[in-house]
Amino acid sequence: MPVYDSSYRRLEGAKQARRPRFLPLMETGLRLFFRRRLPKLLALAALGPFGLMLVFICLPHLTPTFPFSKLPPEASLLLHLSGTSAYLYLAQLERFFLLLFAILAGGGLIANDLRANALEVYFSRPLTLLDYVLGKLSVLLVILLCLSFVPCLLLWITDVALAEEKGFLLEQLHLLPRLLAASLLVSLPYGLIMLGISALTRTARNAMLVAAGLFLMTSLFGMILPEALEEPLYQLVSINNSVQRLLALVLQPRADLVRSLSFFDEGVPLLDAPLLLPALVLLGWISASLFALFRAVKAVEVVQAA
Amino acid sequence: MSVPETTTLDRAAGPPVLAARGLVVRYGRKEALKGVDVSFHGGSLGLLGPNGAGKSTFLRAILGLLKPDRGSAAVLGFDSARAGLQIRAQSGYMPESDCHVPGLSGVEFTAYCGRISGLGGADARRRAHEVLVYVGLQEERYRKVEEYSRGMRQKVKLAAALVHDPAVLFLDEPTSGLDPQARQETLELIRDLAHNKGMHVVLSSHLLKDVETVCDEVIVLAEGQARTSGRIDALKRMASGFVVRVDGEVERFARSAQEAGLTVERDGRGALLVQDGGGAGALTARALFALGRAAGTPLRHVVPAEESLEDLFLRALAQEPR
Repeated sequence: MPVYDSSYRRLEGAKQARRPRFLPLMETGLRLFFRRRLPKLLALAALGPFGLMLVFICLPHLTPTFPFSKLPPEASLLLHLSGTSAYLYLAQLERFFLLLFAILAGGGLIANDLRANALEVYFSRPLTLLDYVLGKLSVLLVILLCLSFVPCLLLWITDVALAEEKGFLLEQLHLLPRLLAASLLVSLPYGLIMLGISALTRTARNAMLVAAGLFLMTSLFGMILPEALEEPLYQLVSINNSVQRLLALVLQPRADLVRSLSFFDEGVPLLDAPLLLPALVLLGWISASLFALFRAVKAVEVVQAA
Repeated sequence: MSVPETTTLDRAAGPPVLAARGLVVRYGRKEALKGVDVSFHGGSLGLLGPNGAGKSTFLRAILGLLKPDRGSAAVLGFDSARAGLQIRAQSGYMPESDCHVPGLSGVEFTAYCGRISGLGGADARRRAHEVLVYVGLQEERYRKVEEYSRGMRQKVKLAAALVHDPAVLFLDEPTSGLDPQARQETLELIRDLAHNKGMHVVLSSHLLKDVETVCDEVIVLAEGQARTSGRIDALKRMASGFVVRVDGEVERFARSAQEAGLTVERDGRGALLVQDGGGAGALTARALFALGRAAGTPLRHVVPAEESLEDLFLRALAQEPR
């Protein structure tokens, strides 16, 4: 009798029908992404802005005798950043990393599946199209929220922990849902646009190049068009500017700080721009991405007629 | 001689493992399935047909991956159009095309397939190891699937289809592109599953030998229609007569048989293939012995003639579409 029976055996465990079906896709997507060395190094680098903000929050509490008046004016201003302005500033600092991670993690999410014909693997299982898209989107959301919401949350906790007034916690509680909403507002458009771009090609590298080109070109147009047409609203052609405008709506930072710290690249008062326009710009890009995404994924089901 | 159109496959009471009624699937203006009626009550079923016959479309439609334009299909009693998720949870599907999830090793890929089929993490990993050992990939299970040979990829696809222990296993051209040894190994595994492990197997192939090796029943699809279906052994017998060897004058017996309205063919090795001219299947061995005695040529060998699956297949293809 063999020591190990290598013939087929029936399943002894139970199947779990009720849990969210997209979770394995998310877990595997994250594991595959962070298996490489570059994302790990970049994740460490992305902690830089958070560390900087942490220093500016902790410094006045830890060294009250420090000669703050001798600091350069911008650094001094940072020390006085509080509430939503601080978080908006952090978001501004993290913006580069958010884009970088969206492009790196999102480029291959669908493209690699299309290349390896993996959609047949997914759709021959008890998964729906929505489960698949949610699974892929959640990979990006987790990464982007870790870069946007988690640092803000940690800063908030630090801020509350260091506060001397007793009612500070209650005063600051309203910030948590706003921070989450702001983080989602950044992560969702970037995530969905990246999925759409990834579905357009079968090569991760091509998807990354297209995405980088798209974000760069819209930013360029956002800089050139307002100058050329003498209309500041054309800044909102840029995806980043539209996101920032909506972000400012959620966080409502102090206008003087926004201007003096050049929160927006162009220095034009975006805070005064109407909200409908950036919302429409983002909705347009998201709709186009979803159209491309569902078209590419659904097309796999259709066997070409002979 | 006519081909029986449809043989009932009723095996047991209860919902059939697979049933389709008037199934029509269109791709634009092209009708890929033109009203397929089949029923399969368990065991091993071969879905035979030339390329483009609609086999893959049929599998996709019954798995709920394609919505039928007309008619209905059901697997294990679940309606394909409405309960595709339940069907896919209880069935394993091995697609024809090469497919994998990039970046995963064999064991990771198989466990991942288990997880998205509803297994917990620990169960999926344990089952992945078990089924990979079963399909013969124990040595290569930690290598990336991208680095596998064609035969190994076919095996890992089979393992991925088995990992959640499905009740029904759908295999779409499982031996396509394999060398003879890998093909034989794959067929043995499938045969073992169907005959020894109590799994219902539906094997789609255009290779007659594969179907003959593995399956007890067959459906021949051509131009989107089921041309014939039934147990392979019964279909072979129903379509034929008897092989007869005569003790004495062969010609005299042949003449008597022809006078009695039977068709007689010589096989070149002294035997005669005697068939009922009407093809109604009424000819019996007893009648042949009587005929032999009457003609003064006693028979020393009478056995039911069996067609090859190839003859059966070709006859089914030659039939006029219904």
